[in-house]
Amino acid sequence: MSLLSSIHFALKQCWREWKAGELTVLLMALIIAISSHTAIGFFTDRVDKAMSYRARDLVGGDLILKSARPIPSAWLSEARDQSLKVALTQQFSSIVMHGDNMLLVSVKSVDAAYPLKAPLKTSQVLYGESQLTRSGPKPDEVWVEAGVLSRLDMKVGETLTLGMIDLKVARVITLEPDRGGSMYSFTPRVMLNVEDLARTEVVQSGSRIAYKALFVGKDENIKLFESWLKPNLSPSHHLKVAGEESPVVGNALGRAKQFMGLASLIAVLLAAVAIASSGKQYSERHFDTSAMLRCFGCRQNDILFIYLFQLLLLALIGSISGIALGWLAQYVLLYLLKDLLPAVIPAADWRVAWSGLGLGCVVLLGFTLPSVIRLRRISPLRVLRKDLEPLPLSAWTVYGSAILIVILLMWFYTGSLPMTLSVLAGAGLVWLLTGTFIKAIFYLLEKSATSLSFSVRAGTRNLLRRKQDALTQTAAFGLILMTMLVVLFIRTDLLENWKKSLPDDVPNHFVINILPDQVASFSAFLEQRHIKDNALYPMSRGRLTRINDLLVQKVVSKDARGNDGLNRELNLTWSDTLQADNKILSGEWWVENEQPDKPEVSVESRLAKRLGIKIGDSLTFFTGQNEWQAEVKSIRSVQWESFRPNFYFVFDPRSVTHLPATYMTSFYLAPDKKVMLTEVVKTFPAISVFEMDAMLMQLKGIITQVIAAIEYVLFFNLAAGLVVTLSTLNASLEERLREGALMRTLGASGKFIRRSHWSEFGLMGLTAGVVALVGAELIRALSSIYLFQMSYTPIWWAWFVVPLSASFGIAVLGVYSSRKVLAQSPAAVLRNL
Amino acid sequence: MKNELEMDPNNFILDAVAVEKTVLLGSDVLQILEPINLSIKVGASVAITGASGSGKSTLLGLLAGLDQPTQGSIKLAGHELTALNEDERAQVRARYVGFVFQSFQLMHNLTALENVMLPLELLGRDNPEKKAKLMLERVGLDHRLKHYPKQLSGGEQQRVALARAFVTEPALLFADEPTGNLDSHTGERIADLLFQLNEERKTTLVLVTHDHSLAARCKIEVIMDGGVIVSHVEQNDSAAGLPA
Repeated sequence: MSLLSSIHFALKQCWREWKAGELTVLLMALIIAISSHTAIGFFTDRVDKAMSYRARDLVGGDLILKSARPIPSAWLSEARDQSLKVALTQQFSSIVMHGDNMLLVSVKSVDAAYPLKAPLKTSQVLYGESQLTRSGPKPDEVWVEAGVLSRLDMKVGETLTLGMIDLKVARVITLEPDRGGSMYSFTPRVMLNVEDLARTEVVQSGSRIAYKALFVGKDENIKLFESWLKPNLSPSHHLKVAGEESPVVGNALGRAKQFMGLASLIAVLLAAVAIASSGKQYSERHFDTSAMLRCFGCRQNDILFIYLFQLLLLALIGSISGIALGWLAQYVLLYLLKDLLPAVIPAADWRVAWSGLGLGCVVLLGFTLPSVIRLRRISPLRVLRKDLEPLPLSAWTVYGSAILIVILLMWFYTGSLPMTLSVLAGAGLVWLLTGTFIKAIFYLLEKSATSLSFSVRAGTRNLLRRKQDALTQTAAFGLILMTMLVVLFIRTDLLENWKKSLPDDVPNHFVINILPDQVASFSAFLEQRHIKDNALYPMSRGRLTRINDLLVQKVVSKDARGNDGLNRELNLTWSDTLQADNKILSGEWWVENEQPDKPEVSVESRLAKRLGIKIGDSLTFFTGQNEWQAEVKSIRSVQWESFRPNFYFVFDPRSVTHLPATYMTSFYLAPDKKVMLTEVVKTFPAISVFEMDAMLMQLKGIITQVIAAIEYVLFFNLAAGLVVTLSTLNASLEERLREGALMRTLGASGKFIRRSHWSEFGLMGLTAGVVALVGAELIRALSSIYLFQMSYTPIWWAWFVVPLSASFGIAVLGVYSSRKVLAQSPAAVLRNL
Repeated sequence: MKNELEMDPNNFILDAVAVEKTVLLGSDVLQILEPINLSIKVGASVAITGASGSGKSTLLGLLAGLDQPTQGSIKLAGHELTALNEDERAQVRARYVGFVFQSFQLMHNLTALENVMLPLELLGRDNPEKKAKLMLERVGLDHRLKHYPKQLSGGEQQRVALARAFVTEPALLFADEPTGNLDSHTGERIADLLFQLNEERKTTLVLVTHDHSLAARCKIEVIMDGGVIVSHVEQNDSAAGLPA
């Protein structure tokens, strides 16, 4: 056959088979797989980008340059030349006055371009309703945080004095997205227009001012500018790239990304199961055709070419349709989530479409090729002897190539080998367990078959007769169920973890500067007002200077020098007891009533890791005018997301009696009790109260959004799994039709056949449910411990619910998909054999 | 591959010499065909008959080049089949051979017309649709062109199979129980058609059958038993013979 006539023939055959409805199942399996993969791909890509943009809101730009001196205007022009938007801010501490009252505030002057990213939230009255505000204050006015008004005892509309000028308080700032910084260093914000800055005359040479330039633009422009800027920077400049988010946002995003990686991986697995099963059917359906074609004189390679061409055509059609459907489906998802997502969602990357096309081709060809290669080897003698089947390829070739493709695909799409391997380990276990389990059940059934009712026995016999097929099918169900369970369990784990870290009564106020002699009266004050206070922590400012007598700067790598633990004064505390949500990872907490020889300290684990601090190391601190040493007794994990006071360094109280201290605490105050803050400030004028509501709201917003996205991704996976399950059931329909027709010819009633189907599929579902659960729990345990760093506890209720519902679910689907067995007349079925 | 139909001097289109077939069943060797000699002249019609398991279908498979003998030589239109590999034998089949089967072997996803067009398309012949339509008209199925096999009766399906077998105008037609799946009346009509077409197109016909009346319509009847040709009957003039 010439190449042209082969293509012509393959095309015609393909069209004829499509018309006859024989490619529907394979094509549908491929389309479903690719559309679920690309819908999740497009959606997660866009949500991922949107979330990372949202995270950039927290720092106010895509790229932030901080400096103690004015930023050279040449750099700003260069940024503008590279199509970046630029905003400048200056920040410093100063005193504001209103009448006789004075207050130390953090002043921020902004230009007309500010804010570049997320808008501010402001209100017109104290504790009034917030509005989105997309510009900064106008000249001659200031915007202030609530604390300024309550502590200066003034209202919106009155004026305060900053340096040499009076400025009218025009609005109350309720959220400043790029406020950032350490919450302990907060002093209330006063924001003014940069045009007023010079007139205040508070900025003199030598003033400590933080100059900030915020840059916003396309990713590629940002990268270009960053690489241009870096060589020009001196040590006094600090460049921050958005994406180096706060730990809370970083963790939420990181987990969400990992979860979505898992979700798209499941789409790949579902595709593999469906395609392999439909591909085998496709090949077996063409045994006769191939033998016939060989009779007509087709060569072996002609046969291979014809089927390969058809498969490639199918892969292209299936993938492109899948991509188109996926593209539409992601819009539905985005529409459903529109209230939670930012107004502008970045466009999806076309690489997702290409990956869909590649996946379609690789999966279809990869999983059908072993079956199709058999067609090449078919003997033409099959036209005379129907029982002649081509030799099967060795199991190693078939499964080995499939597993290799799955590993490569999963690795490619998740970029995580541990995740790929743990999922594969679970999948491998399912195969192994399914085999062993089915064999064990078969053995038991064979032994006890006589005691079962006749229809149940018939269903059981159906399974026993098709051991190999039943094994494959049950393993496929097991795999699908397992992947669904993994998604469901891990989502639940993540959700609970998040909810735990941010409960409704998470402290929304921080109080610092409580003097030692006010501790008792402050506690009593809160108690009288039924405010659940957290413990009061002593606090002293200090700096870590040496680790084992070596200067910190010399010990640590260049990267770690940017670490907050080194660059600024830290809050040091001491305590007899370990904070409830802290955990000792190594070393020991000190024993009460035991006077240590020298100061002892417990170090936060991440900081310890970055600085290479180990148990027994000697750390040198600088407080006030003194340098002193402490020995590391333990390394602690800290829940930074908890919004409770947390510290890098905690000392044994007996060893640091020489340190001066003020106290701090945090507590939750319901919105309707906010007015009480004024009373607090009046009673204890020296203390500083910080409201964290806005920041908490922002965080909760991010987390809610992530959870909602995950729920929809999960829903999509479940739907895909359901359809793939149906298509797997359809694969054995032909045989069931034949058997059903024969049984009915022999006098079996419809009720009898239906019952035998119920028992057959119920048994299959039960088996699949148990092995899926074992596999899913194993994966969950591995992922929880190694991937998500969460603790693992088995879900006991699942051991009852999952196998029973799997049994029922598969039975319902199986009986439903086999309804044709009873709907068609036995004569019609037998005639078509 | 030789281009023209090459005959040996005796005008044999098919010449099998000392052909035998054995299969291994575990460690046992089972002799399905004892050494067999059979030569068939151009234009002959030969019926191979015998009880089930006598080896007649095995012999048909070997003569048509669908299978390879364990020993012996088979020449089809001058091509030594035992010297060819599977793909080369396929080319010989494509060029010279047509088939009709007991179970019709129609492609159920193709219409009657498409089934008949298929071998023409595979051979790259011109106007496959026109030729297929003419052929279907010849077998009386011009009103069934767009029907799929499952929409046709058994007799109609076998007529499609006959049309498909004859449409390429093969030099040699092999038929395996062509009426075996049909009732006697329909079977007779199919047999009539088969012999008419055979006559019209001067095709050499080799058929395997249980049906004595069908065998009787062939010029030669070869009877097999236990893998051996036990009788070789020429109905009238000699068109086939057992070489000495």
